[in-house]
Amino acid sequence: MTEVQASIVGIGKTDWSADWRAIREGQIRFDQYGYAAQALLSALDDAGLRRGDIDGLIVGQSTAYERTAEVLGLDVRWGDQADASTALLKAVAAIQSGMANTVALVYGNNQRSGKVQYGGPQAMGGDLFLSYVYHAPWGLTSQGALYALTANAYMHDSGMREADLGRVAVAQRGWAGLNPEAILRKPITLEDYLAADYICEPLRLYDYCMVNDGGVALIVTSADRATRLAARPVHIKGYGRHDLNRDATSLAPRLTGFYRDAQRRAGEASFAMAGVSQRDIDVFSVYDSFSMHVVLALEGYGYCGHGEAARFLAEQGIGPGGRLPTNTSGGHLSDSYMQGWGHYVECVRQLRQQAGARQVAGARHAHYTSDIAGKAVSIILAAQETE
Amino acid sequence: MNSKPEFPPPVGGLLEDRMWRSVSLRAMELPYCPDCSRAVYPPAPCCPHCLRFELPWRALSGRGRILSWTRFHRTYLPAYPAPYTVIAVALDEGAVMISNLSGTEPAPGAWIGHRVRMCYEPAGGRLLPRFVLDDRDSAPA
Repeated sequence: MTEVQASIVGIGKTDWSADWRAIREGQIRFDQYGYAAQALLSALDDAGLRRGDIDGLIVGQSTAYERTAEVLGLDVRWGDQADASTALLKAVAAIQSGMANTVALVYGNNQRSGKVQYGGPQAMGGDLFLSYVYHAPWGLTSQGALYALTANAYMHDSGMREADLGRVAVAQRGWAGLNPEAILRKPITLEDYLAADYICEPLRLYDYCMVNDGGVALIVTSADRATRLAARPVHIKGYGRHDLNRDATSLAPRLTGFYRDAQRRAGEASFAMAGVSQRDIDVFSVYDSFSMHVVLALEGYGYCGHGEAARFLAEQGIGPGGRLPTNTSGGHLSDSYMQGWGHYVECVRQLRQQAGARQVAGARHAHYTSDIAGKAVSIILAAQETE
Repeated sequence: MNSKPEFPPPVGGLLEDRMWRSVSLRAMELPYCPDCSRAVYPPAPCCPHCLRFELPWRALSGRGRILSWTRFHRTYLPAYPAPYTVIAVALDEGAVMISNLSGTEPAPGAWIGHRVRMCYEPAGGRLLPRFVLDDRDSAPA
């Protein structure tokens, strides 16, 4: 019997579709702190907890730690700031080490209404990743362009064609059509995909995530407390991380190994800790700022062999009715770009059997992965076993 | 008023400044580890493979092959109106360098693996190392 590392007992999110429509009509209802606060209230309500039950806080990368806590009126005994993938691992570490009992993870982002730029002279992220700004004298800017370079190298290596890649966006839009809360729900076909303009060749409009406003919050506590608290806690059963930092600025790890080594190591660690394998996974959840993330994750985390993702997408499938339901909310491409945070909400809903028309029947295990700039994180989540 | 769009400036620093001085002399140099037989790019204070310090600077051969490419169909930077092309070059000295391809383009499907050699082109008031196809050895590596 494998151990439960910690458990998610509450999820909250903002109504990002309503905010998407409002912002298009020129109405900005919240800043990033407003989204974060809304999400936390919704997560506390979901968990049946009060603010006073929270003694640890992790905020996402788009709000300042102290200001977030100030807005929320949260004096805690432990706090930190992290991206979605690292945040959940930090919450586990804080709970297991006794630094906190119940941690709120809170993310708010006004990237749409605040006109955040992910490419160009004011590109985001250059303070974290030198590769995002180092090559600007040659016109290389935007994370999408980095994935376009990866895509061309991968296509050369594997024989994947543009129409094969298009299956990712089409499948995820299919899921979004079943998700009433997703922002982009209009179905698309492979023909629509191929008719769309390139942004950075070979990537087209549908290979890119949207940029929208919103907030997400999670409440994480120990497994013991979780089973006393929540009707249906979701358990963190395994995790792993592996980073490829050598030659990262020159992009070599993206262009030669496609992050496979990092993904394999992170994946193996998480599967071993959880005592499950790829065959046990009912829901696959991939950080997908670009469709290429999904292609690389299918191979890197061992769902198919190297160079076989195109065949997997065509023959097994990741969309509704497919062998490996992937990004079942629609993901960053079609649901909402919450920088990985929204993926947790969807995993929890699936494992609680609360995903409505897109519910994967009897889902027991979900696998969340991200590979942001070669920092691979793999987390196995499991439903509460029923008596 | 200067009507020219602002050119995106290179990242500066102690080692970067030395590198760009060598570029301005049309002989781009990088720190080179004789033990590992590799150039270090971006320039760094020690070899990331063996952690040797006090690396000698060596002029690059300027030769390499295309590792990948992308064509921008959207303008992000005023100095680079779309469409334009960016390439990743595996230098013969072992490092990977992002740059542009000038002049003739390879046939579709023949970009990756094509040999290239460095050239120096004026851009934004400085010289910029770019690449042209090297037809003396066009066999994909």
